[in-house]
Amino acid sequence: MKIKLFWQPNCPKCPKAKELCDELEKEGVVVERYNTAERDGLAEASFYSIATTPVILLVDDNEDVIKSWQGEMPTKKEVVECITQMIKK
Amino acid sequence: MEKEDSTEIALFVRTSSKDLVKWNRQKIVNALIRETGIDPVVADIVSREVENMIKNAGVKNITAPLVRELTNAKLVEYGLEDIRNKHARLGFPIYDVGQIIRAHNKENANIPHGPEATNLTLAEGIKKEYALMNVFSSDISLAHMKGDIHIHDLGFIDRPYCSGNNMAYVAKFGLSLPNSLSIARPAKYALVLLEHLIKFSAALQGCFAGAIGWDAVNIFLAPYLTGMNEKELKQLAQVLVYEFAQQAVARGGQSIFSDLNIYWECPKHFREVKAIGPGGKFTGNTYSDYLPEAQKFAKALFNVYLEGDANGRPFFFPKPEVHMTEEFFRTEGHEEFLDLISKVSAEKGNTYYVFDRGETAKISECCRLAFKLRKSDLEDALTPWKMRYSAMQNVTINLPRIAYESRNEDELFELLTKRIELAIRAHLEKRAFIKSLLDLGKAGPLSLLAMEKDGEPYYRFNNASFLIGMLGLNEMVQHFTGQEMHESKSSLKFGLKVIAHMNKEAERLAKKNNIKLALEQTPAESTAYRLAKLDLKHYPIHASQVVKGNVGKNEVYYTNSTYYNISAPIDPIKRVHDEGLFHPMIEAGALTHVWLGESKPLPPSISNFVIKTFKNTTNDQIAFSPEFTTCIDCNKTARGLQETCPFCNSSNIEHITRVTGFFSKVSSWNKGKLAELKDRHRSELQ
Ligand SMILES: [Zn+2]
Repeated sequence: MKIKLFWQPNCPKCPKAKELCDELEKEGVVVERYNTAERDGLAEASFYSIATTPVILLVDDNEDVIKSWQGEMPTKKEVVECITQMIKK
Repeated sequence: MEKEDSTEIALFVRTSSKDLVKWNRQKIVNALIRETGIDPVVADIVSREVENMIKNAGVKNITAPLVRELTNAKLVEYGLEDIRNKHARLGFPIYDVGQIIRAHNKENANIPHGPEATNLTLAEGIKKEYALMNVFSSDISLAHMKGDIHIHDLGFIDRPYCSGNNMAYVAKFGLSLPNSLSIARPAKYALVLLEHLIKFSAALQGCFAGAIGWDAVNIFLAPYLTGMNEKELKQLAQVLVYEFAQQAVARGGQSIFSDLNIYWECPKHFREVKAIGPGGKFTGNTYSDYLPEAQKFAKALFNVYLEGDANGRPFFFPKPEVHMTEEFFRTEGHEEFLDLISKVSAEKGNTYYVFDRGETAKISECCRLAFKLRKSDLEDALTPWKMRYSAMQNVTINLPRIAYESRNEDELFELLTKRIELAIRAHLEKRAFIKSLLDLGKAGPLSLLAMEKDGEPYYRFNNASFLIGMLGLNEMVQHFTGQEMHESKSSLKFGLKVIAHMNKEAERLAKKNNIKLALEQTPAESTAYRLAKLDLKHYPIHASQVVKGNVGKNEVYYTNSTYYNISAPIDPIKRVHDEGLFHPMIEAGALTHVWLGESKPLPPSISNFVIKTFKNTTNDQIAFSPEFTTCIDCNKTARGLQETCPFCNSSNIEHITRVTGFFSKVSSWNKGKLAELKDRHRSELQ
C-alpha cells in the first residue's frame, strides 16, 4: 500500500496536500509525488484519469486505487484510519 | 559548314505549348539563367554541348522536355547538382500516366475512379514533388521520404489542412465569393441558407485538404425555423444531408468531407449571443430563445440518418457529431434525443458522440490540467461569424522506428524530441509558403481565404494551429517493452509516458517557436500502410516482429495512433476506458471505435454505454461502427460483410464500413486497411 500525490505549481490547494503527505511520510507511509506539469507526472495522472490537482490516491500493491481524495484534502487521521482499516482486512 | 546550317534550319522543337519552333540554342541559355541564376558563361558552354549532342546523335523528334533532360545530364556531368535541382522538370513517366488513367487510386478510400479523380492524382503527384523539392528543406523532405515522419497532403501543398467554420458567417454575409459570376444576398429562408452553406462548403473544400466542419449547425439554423412544422423540418434536414452526401463535386469527384456539429442544449458561450436571422439581420433575440426550433431540427436530422439513403445504406457524409456535456444531461428531453441518436448508431452507425466534459467545472476548487476553449475563443463567440479555425498542416511521427533506432529510454525520448522538432520545422516552412500565397490577396490562388468581409481575411492566419500526429504507439511500446499496451499495466504506462512526452515537448516548443501546436490522432489511412512497409524495408528484423497484418503477402499496417491492437479481444467498455486515458493529452481530437460488425445492439445498450463513457472515462469521442453488404443487383442492404447477397444470392455486392473515421466502400481500400479489416475484433455490446 502507498500514497500517490498529484500536484502542480501555482495550484493554490497543493501546498496543503503536500504538507499532509510530508506528515504521513513521518508516520512511515510510503509516498510518491507526481508533478503533473512534467512528463512523468502527467503520464501517471493520465493512468488514473486525473484531470485536476491536488489529488491523493491510496493504492494497493497492485497499483489499484483503494481510495482517492480530490480538491478537499482529508486530515492525517482520516488517511491513517483508512490505511489501518485496509491492513486489518 | 553549309550542310550543318541547313540541318539547323530543319531542326524544330516541339514545345510544351504544343507548337513547333525553330531550334535556338539561346533558349537553353535563357532558361538556365532565368530559373537557376547560373553564371552566363557556364550556361553558354552547357548549351553548346547540348546542341552538339543533339546534332551528333541525329535525333529525329526533339521535344522541349528532351532538351531539358539533356541539359540536366550535362549539369550533373559538371557537378552542378544544385543548379540541376532548380532546373528540374516535374511530371510522370508516360507509362505511369497510362496506369493512372486506367487504375483506381487507393490512397484515399473516399475518391471514386473517374477522369476527375485521375486529374487529381496527376496534379497531386506534381505538387507533391514540388513540395518536396521546393517548399521543404532537403533534410525534411528526406525524412518524409525515408519515413521518419509523414507530412500529410503534400499533393495539397498550396492549401491549409482543415477548417472549422460557423454558419453565422454565411447568414450574415450571404454568398459572394471572389471570382464567382453572381452574388447572393443573405438568405431570408432556411432552405436558401442551407443552399448557401453547401455551396460555400464546396468552395471551401477547394481551398483545404481536409475536413470542412460547421459548428452548432442546428443552433445557428434555428432562427430561420420558427413556425415550421415537423414535415417541413424533415424536408429541410433531407436537403442538408442529401446535398452534402450526393454532390460529387469536391476534389477528384469526391463528396465534401463535411462535419456537422449538433447540440441538444444551447452551448453556454452562445446563450447570450444576439441571433442572426432572415436577411442576415439580428432578430432581437438570443440563440437560446430558439432552442425549441434547434432541438426539433436536430431530431429531424437524425430521423433522416436513421432512414439512410434510398437503398437503406448509411450516408457517408456529412458526419453528425453530437456534443455531450454536463448540461446535455440536465436539459429537458435529452433522454428521448439520446434514444434517437442511439437508434441511429445501432441501425446505421452515423452518430459520433463528442464528450465535452468539465466546462462547468468549478475552476476555483481545483486546477485543471488542460483547457479546451481558450479565452480568446470565448470572446469570438460573441461575434460567432468570427469563429473560423484551421489547422494548417499535419505531420505524423513514425513511433516504432524511434524504438528501433534507440538503445535505451533516454535515447528514445531524445530522438522523439528531435522528430518533433523536425515536424515543427516542416510546419514553419509550410506556413511561410501559405503566407506567400495568401499575400497575393484577391489575385492569388487562395483569394477565397483572403476575402475580407468583417475587417479581416476569411482565413485567420495567425490563429491557425499545427498538428503533430503519431502512428504505431502500440508497436513502439511492443518493441521497447516486449509487450503490447493491452498486455500489461507497465506497457500501458510506458505508452502514456510517450504521449505525455509529446504533449509536454509540443507545449515547450510551441512557445519557443511562437506557433500553436496540438497533438492529433493521425487519420492513418495510407500512412499506417506506408510507414509499416518502409520500416520492413529499412529495419526488417525489428519491424517484422511487431508489424501487424500479413508480412508474407505484404498486407501490413501499424496500429493507428494511440489505439490498442485492433484484433485484441478486449471488452468494449475497457477499450473505450483505456484508449481514453490518452485523449486528454491529444488536444486536437481523438476517437475510439466500437466495431459492431454484424451485431445490432439494442438502442438502450448504446445509450447506457454512452452515459458510462461520459461519466466513468476520459474518452473524447466514440462512434459505433456496423458493417454492411449492399447488393448492386437487387439494391437491398444487409447487415455484416456477406459473401453473397442474402436477399437474391447475387455476388455482385459492395461492402461498406468505416475506414479511419468515415464510411466508405471496402473495394476502394488499400492493402494495409484490408488487412486491418480482417483483424478487426467486433463486439456484441450487451
Ligand atoms: Zn441482392
